[in-house]
Amino acid sequence: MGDIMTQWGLKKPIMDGLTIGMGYLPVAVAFGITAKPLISLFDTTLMSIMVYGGASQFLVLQMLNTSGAAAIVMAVFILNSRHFVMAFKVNYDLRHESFIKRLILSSYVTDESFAVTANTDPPGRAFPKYFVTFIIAYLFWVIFSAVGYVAGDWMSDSWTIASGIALYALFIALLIPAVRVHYKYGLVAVSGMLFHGILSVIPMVPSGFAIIIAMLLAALMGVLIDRMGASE
Amino acid sequence: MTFLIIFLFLATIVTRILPAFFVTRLSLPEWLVTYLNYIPYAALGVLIFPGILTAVERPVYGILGAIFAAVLSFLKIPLFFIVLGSIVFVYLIML
Repeated sequence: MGDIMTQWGLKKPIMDGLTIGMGYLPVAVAFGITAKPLISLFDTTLMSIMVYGGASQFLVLQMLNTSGAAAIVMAVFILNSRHFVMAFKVNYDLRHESFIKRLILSSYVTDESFAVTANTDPPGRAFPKYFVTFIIAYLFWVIFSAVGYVAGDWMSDSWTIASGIALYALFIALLIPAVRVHYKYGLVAVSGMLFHGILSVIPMVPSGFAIIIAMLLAALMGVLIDRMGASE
Repeated sequence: MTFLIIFLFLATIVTRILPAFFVTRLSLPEWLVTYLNYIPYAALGVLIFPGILTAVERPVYGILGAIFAAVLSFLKIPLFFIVLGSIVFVYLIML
């Protein structure tokens, strides 16, 4: 088994999937716990299977008693539409793969699965590697949503709270190596932070829009930095 | 509820899979490829801030946790252990 994993180069994708999964675990458990007083176990698990988006699923629970179905669907659409940009890049990087393979991968694109695979070198841009990472992360999300619902109390409160850092630690750990390669990536990330910070304090801007606009503007900063010759 | 989830599924899946239908048919200009290559770093920045301020009980814990994760990354600790280590770190400083 170990030999096959090494031969296919699947060791890193598996570790990447487990890393995302470990970040998802506490969030999924928290989702299960939050959902318990509101919806059934079936619906909780179904939502994780079909929506597969942390922030948007919490948003649904939050809106459930105060908003109509149309408003909830619209809010989730706006919040999750950032995946379009991410899936766009995944599809572009894997444009040599068949349509059906790209279709499968696209449906598992999340902030985390995108961030972890986005810097893959061309030789690593292959369906099996992406799929392994994506599916492991997905399984953690689905399984631990249900586990949280059924047995959420096995995680102590302070562990659940401390685990809130997990996905941020993941994002930071993905950013730092890029900044070591060139500081311009750091500048792009910092401008993303600033744009998002500014947009999120402006009232009336839905958080989903704030994320996409900040992301698109910050990436534009990268192009500008290149134009100004900072890459030389 | 189950019906609502089906609509939520449709609302979510459409933006995820849409690029699969047309991306390969495009030949992207050079600048757009460059632009696209910056998206991951832009996304990371956007995802880190301001969310980090509400990641744990108090903003300062989130920031300390972020600094700890950054230090571990500079030391080239594997990703998995950075995530695990940061959880332990934040747990300890909250005690």
